[in-house]
Parts: sequence; C-alpha cells; structure tokens
Amino acid sequence: MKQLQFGKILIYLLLIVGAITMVFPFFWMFISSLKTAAEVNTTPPTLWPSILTFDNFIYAFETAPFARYFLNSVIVAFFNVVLTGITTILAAFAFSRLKFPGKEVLFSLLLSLMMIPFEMLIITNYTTIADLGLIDTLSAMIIPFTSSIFYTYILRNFFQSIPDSLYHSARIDGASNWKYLWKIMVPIAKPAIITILLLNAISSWNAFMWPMLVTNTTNNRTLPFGLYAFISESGVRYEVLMAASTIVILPMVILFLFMRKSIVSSVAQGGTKG
Amino acid sequence: MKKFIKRDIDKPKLTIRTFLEPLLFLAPFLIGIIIFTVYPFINVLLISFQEGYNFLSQQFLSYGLENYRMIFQDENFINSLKNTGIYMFTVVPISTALAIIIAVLLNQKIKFNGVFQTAYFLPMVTSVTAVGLVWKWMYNFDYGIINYLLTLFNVDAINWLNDPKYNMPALIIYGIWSILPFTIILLLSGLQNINEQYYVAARADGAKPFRIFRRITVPLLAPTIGLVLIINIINTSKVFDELFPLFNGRPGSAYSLYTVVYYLYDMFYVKWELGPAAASATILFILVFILTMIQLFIQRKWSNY
Amino acid sequence: MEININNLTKKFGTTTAVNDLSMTVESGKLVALLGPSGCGKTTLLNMISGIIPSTTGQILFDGKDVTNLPPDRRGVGMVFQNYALYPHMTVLENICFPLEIKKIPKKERRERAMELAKLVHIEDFVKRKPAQLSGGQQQRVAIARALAKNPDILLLDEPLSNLDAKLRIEMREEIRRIQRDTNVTTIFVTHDQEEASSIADSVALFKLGEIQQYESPNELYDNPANAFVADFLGAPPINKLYGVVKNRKFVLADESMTLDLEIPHSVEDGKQVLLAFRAETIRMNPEKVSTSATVKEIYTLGRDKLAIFNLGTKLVRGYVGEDIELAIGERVQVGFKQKGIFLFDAETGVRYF
Ligand SMILES: Nc1ncnc2c1ncn2[C@@H]1O[C@H](COP(=O)(O)OP(=O)(O)OP(=O)(O)O)[C@@H](O)[C@H]1O
Ligand SMILES: [Mg+2]
Repeated sequence: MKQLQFGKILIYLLLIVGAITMVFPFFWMFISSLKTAAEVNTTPPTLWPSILTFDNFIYAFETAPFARYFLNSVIVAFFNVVLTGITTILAAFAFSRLKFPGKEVLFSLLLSLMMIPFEMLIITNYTTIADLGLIDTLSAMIIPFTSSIFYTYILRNFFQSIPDSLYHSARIDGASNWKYLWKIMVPIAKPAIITILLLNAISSWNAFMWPMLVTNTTNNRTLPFGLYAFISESGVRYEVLMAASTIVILPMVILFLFMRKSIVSSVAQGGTKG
Repeated sequence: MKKFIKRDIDKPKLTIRTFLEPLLFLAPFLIGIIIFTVYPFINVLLISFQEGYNFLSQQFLSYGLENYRMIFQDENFINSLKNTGIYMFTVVPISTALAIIIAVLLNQKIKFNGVFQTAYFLPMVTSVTAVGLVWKWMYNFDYGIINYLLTLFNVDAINWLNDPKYNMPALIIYGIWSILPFTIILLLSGLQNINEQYYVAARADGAKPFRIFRRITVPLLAPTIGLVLIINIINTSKVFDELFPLFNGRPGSAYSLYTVVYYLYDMFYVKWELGPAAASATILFILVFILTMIQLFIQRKWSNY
Repeated sequence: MEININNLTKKFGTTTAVNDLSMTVESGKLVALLGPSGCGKTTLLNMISGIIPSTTGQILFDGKDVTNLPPDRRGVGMVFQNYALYPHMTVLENICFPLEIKKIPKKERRERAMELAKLVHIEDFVKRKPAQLSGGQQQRVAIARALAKNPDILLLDEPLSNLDAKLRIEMREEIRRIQRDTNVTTIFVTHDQEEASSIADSVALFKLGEIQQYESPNELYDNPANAFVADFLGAPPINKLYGVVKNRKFVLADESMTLDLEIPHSVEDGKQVLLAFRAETIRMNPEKVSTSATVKEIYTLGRDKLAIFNLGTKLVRGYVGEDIELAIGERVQVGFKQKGIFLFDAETGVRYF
C-alpha cells in the first residue's frame, strides 16, 4: 500500500515538473511583458514584476501597427477557413457519395500529392501570385490555400460513415444531391467540420514563411511576420517584444482553452501537424 | 414493341449525371490543387533540370544535371543537409523518448488530467515565431533566465545565440520543446487504444509496473512509436521558421546553420537563383518521398494485426 | 396509382438479383413481397423507388415510364428497414422535411405534419429527436414522413423486422389501418410469411429473383403453384414425403409405407414425387383410410392438439380434433381431407394435384 502511495506521488511530481517546463515560456513571456525595461534587465530575474505596467503593450501598439496586423490575420484566417471549408465540403461529398468513373484513381492520386512539401512549391507559386498581380495583398495569403487534400481526406472519411439509407431516404423525400449535402450531411458532420476549420484557422494564424515572401509593406503583414519585422523596428527591447508576442499568442491560447478536446482528438486522428 | 434500356451498373457510365455533377462539386477544389500543387510541382522539377541559360534569347538551352552538380558543390548545401540531419536525429529520438514517458504518465488514472493536458499541449497551437522570440529572450546571454538557472548550478553562462558552437543546441532544445505536444498526443491516443485487459491480466500475474511497461506497453505501442518517429522526421526535415526569431533571419550567428529549407529560401528569395533553388527543392521532395514510403511500409506492416 | 413492371432484370456483376420479372400492382392495393433472404426483394423495391438503376426492363407508374427518373422525381414514399430518420432533426422536422423540399409554406407544412403525427399516434413526441424514441415510435415517424408528401406509392422494406413479437403484430395492424385510411398503393417487403398473409391483399412469393406465385394469401396457401410455395407458407411447416407412384398409390422412398391415394392417371407409374400435406389435413379414423400410423408425441397448443405420427419411417405433424383421445404409442387409422394435400414432381416441383 505504501509503495502504491509513493508511486502516485512520483507520478504527480514528474507530471508537475514537466508541465511547468512546458508552460514556463508562456509564463515568462507574459511576466516579462508586464515589467519595466529596468526590471527586465536585472540579475537575478524576478518571478513577478515589482512594478506592474502595461506600457509595453501601449508602446507596441504605438510603434508598430499591431492592430492592423491583427485585423489582417483575422481577415486572412477568416477567408481561409470559409473558402477551404466550402471546397473541402464539396469535394469530400463528391468523393464519398457521388459515383463517377475514375473516382478511386483520382482520389489515390490526390492522396499521393500530400507527400509534396509546400516548401518545394514556393518557387513557382510565388511566380504565379506575382503574375496574378497579387504580391503584397491579403489575397496572396488566401488564394493558394483554398484547397486542402488533407482536410478533404478527413472529411470524406467522416462522410462515408454516414449511413447510405439517410441519403436514399433524402433522395426519395425529394432532395437533390445539393440539398442533401447541406440539409442532412453537413449538419450531421458538424463536429468534424468544426474541427477541420479550427485546425485550418490555427495554421493560417501561425503561418510565417509564405506571408513573409508575399508581403512587402506594413499594411499587408499578418501577425507572425509583423512580429518578426518588429524586432528590427523596435530594437531589441525584450519587454516590448514579449508584449508583442503575447498579442500574437493570446487568441490561440484562448481558442485552445475552449476547444482543447476537439483539437486534440482531431490531431490524434489526422496524425499530421496542424 | 417494348423498348428496353440497357445500362451497365457495375461501373458508372459517363453520362451528364455521372460526369457533370461530380465535376461541379469537385471543380473549386481541383482548380486550387492543380494551380497551386500539381502545376508548381511539375514546374519546379522542370526548372531544376534546366541549364545553359542564354542571355541573348533569355532561354534555357538544354536539360541536364547542372543545377544538382552546382548545389552539391556548394558548401552551404552540404552543410544544410548535415545540419538538417543532425537536427532530425537529435530532436526526434529525444522528444519521442520524453513523450513516451509523459504519455504513459498522463495515461494513468490521475486527477487534473485536463489541466495537465492543457499545459503539455499548448505549444502545439502557438506561433513558432512568437514562441521563438520568447526562447530568444530566455537564451539571452546577459539576462536570460536559462543562463541564470545555469549559474545557480555553478555552470558558466553560455552564449547560446551568438557563439556558433551553441547555435545548434539552442535550436535543438527549442525544437524538442515545440514538437513534444504533437508527439505526446499521438502516443497517448496509441496508449488509449491498448486494451485494458492486457494490463489487468499482467497485474493478476503479479507483474511489477516497470515490467508491465517493458513487456506490454512498449511492444503494443511499437506501431504508434514507429509512426510517430517517421512523421516527426518528415516534419523536422522542413525546419525553417524556427531559425528566424532565434537568429534574426540568419542561418545561425555565423551562417553555419543552413538547413535544407533555409537553403532553398536563400537561393530562391535572397539570391534569386531559381535553378539551384528548384534543385534543392527537388532534393527535399525526394527526402520526404523516401521517408513517406518508409512510413507507409511501416503502417502496412503493423496494421496486419 | 397502378404499377407495371415489365421484364425487369438487375445484375450485380455475375449475380442476378432480379430476373426478367413482370408484375402489376393495382391501384390502392397492399402487396407483400415475400421470400427468403437474398431473393431480391430489396433490390426490386429499390428499383421501384429509383435508388438503384435496373439493368434491363421497364417500370411504369399509371402507364408513365419512370425507369430513368431519379428517386426525387418518382413521387414515392419509402420506409427503410432501419427507418433512416435524420438524427439531427426533431420528429416534427423529420416529417416536415419532404414538404420543406417542396417549398410548402412553414405553417402549412407544420399543420400537415401534425395531422400525420396524429394519424400514426405520435403526436406527443413531435419535439423529440429520433434517438429518444423506441423502435416502434421511430417506425411510425418513418411512416409519417413517407406519407408526408402525399406519395402515390408507399414502399416499406421489412419495416417490422427490428421490433419485438408483440409490437410487430400491433404495428402491422397499424400499417394496414393507415393504408386503408389513405388508400395509397403499397408494397411491403418481408420474409415472414405470417406477416405477409395477415396484412396483404396479394402476396408475391420470390425465389432467386423470380416470382413463384402472385395471388391472394388464401390462394397461395390453398393452391400453391409449386413445391417451393407450399413449403414456404404455413405454420407449422407442411409435411413432406418423398416417394414414387405405384399403381396410383404413393410409396415412401424406402418402401416402408404405402399411402392409398387416388393419384390421377396423368402421373406415370414409377415417377419420383413429393407428397405434401398440411397438419390440419390429416384425419383420424376416417371413412376412407389411407394408411395406419403410430402416435409418437402429443402437444397441447391452446385449444388444439398437435400430434407427431410415425408414417412408415418418417415423422409427420397433424392436428387432432378435440373429441379424439390419443395415447402415445397407439396405432391409428389416418386419412386426408381433400383440401391441403398436394403432389409435386420431386425434381421440378411442378404440381400434379
Ligand atoms: N450492391 C450490391 N452489390 C452486389 N450484390 C448485391 C448488391 N445488393 C444486393 N446484391 C445481391 O443481390 C441479391 C438480392 O439481394 P437483396 O438485398 O435484394 O435480397 P433481399 O431479398 O432483400 O434479402 P433480405 O431479406 O436479406 O433483405 C443477393 O444475392 C445479394 O447478395
Ligand atoms: Mg432486403
């Protein structure tokens, strides 16, 4: 019995130490953002700000257009989610429900395309976006990402688990394929669709490389690249940088606190990073 | 006279209904895939083989391996392969080992499971750039918390970000931290798929916890571990975003930390050398392709039972 | 609405699920499709509804060719074996769905749905989701939904197979009542012969994608077209004895017994035959004795007594009149009523009498 107690304590101890290590950077970011410049640059570091100040946030918003970046990020994420949502739902429906010649071949072909790393494609995609005259626009961060094979694959699997008889029944009730999709299939698949959209929103929000390539002016930056550019703009003032990082990270933290279960389960199912 | 309509039912035949309707549903999706995946893929392959640029006609004269020859003679590219390899083969095993321990612990009947999960999984949804900046601060030579902790243990402060010797370790530590959540999630779901009965039986046989771990958990978790290893190797082979906040957009403080994707970016975006950029992109693809084949092979092999 | 099916065939690869089938369902009638599992009942029903296309042949509704119409344009209502209720909608929304598709104004469709809910006695549950209903209630919702758009034809695919015995009997009476009330042409699939007989105006009995006989339940029982039909209908199952014809008498295959029957001259001597008779056809101590039998066992089933007899080496079942006392082991004289005894060709199953 004693041994069991000891085991339990050990488990909790290890878990707590690990958990602290994992969240410490977030804690440290937030604490540093609330300190004065003088307090940040002292040894030993203080675990809690002796003078609480929000000046760093104000300074960040004043020196760089973080509000603008934020808005851009929201716009880009919103259109990514909506457009990808639509193409994904339509394609997943065709692959799960409609019958057409060559369906299986086309689908396996698409799955094999998932192997191509996006990094490989930036060279030509950049040229395409330039040819479309979209360099340095928000559209440049939306248009290349309207179709996702991965999300389509996940949703198609979910759609396939909906019994055939519901489809037949709806058809007999007079519904066209289109009506069936939106009135029956989508409402039933709502949890799966929401998770997909969430993953999509997260990856859109955090994207760095592509936005860096296709934006030039401050007006069109999204948060991660705006933040990176801020390093050179503000000079290395960590209390301010930490405030800016907090601005970028906070929305995702809130989202995660509310939607943890569905995010985690979809990552577990998909087996691929969001 | 009765008119019979003959139709083939096994394979859907090409009619307005079997062609046009699916096409309408698929069109928005396929257009995106063709323009931004299929076409650039083929295009990049072609570019990588173009050589003999003629400045007068502004055309390439032939196809060949010139670009590949060039990058394999480029010290930076060789370096990038080496660095990517080192990064992959330290980050992946260490994070997997840590993740197995954490996943097993999280899989026990513990209180506050939600709180622990939140703590362990949070880095998965946060921006690499923003968090990288936090790590840059923590790695700071003079006032960084990490060096402060080291001094508590009587270790000299390390110049993580400016001493080329320590650039790679800095990147690796940050890499492990950021890849852990994803790894834990996959392993945890693998653990939860192991039938409780095996444990009950083993405990009934009087097996000690560590023995149960070695003889039951690890073998049954092996397929998941294999899968996680490969997926993470694929993911880490594309290391890039992490470099920017840590080293101000440079590949390490002394340009010694080129990675394959950084090299590709550098050739393409900074130097505008499309041929070598495309060649390095193709090498990246081949790398990922081989790794994916291994992944599929493992998956098929394990799914046999 | 009258349904005409002309030479309809459905092939799945090499299996022929429905083979060159023709039948007519008269307007306002309830027809049961009866047959063992895998004989093509669902396939036929799905071709009538348009869910699956036919390979060859033609389907007419009131003379209009619908063979190529998709399901949404055939005007049929259908109840599926698993009910296929939309899980995310309430009962009322489920019933309203076909009307919503037809763009009928909200108020009107609610009224109509409530009417139907009353018809099938589920008006108290209209706000629930399907998962909160019992099997019988779900089935009634499915019927109400199928009736909502005023279909010309109602198709039911084994709607009662998921219910327990008691509910099944209640529900089949309910279906009969609703069908009478609405007078909708109805096709009802089942593999339960008792269900088919008790509910349908006519029964089409299937075997391997072909109709064996298509008539009223009584005709099917009293006048089976072949051995398969005789065997499929009736509880307890019909008694079957294989043998040969000798001098217009029936001799059991192992020659352990001879039955004195007046077999018509048309059946040649030496022909291999199957003699089948129903349990209620056997009579004790009749005027015209056919043979003698030994009582092996006696069961009392409510008012009736069912005895098992040894006829030669074979065992047969027979009902015994109330007034007759039998003891196990007793030897009795037996004969047969005119009705309920049939002779078939042993190979082809063709009926001689
Ligand atoms: N989609 C299909 N593909 C291939 N064969 C099929 C298909 N659907 C039915 N069949 C075959 O056609 C035959 C008839 O099937 P059907 O479902 O019509 O039988 P049923 O009479 O409804 O049987 P049950 O009483 O078991 O429901 C069976 O042999 C079946 O295996
Ligand atoms: Mg069936």
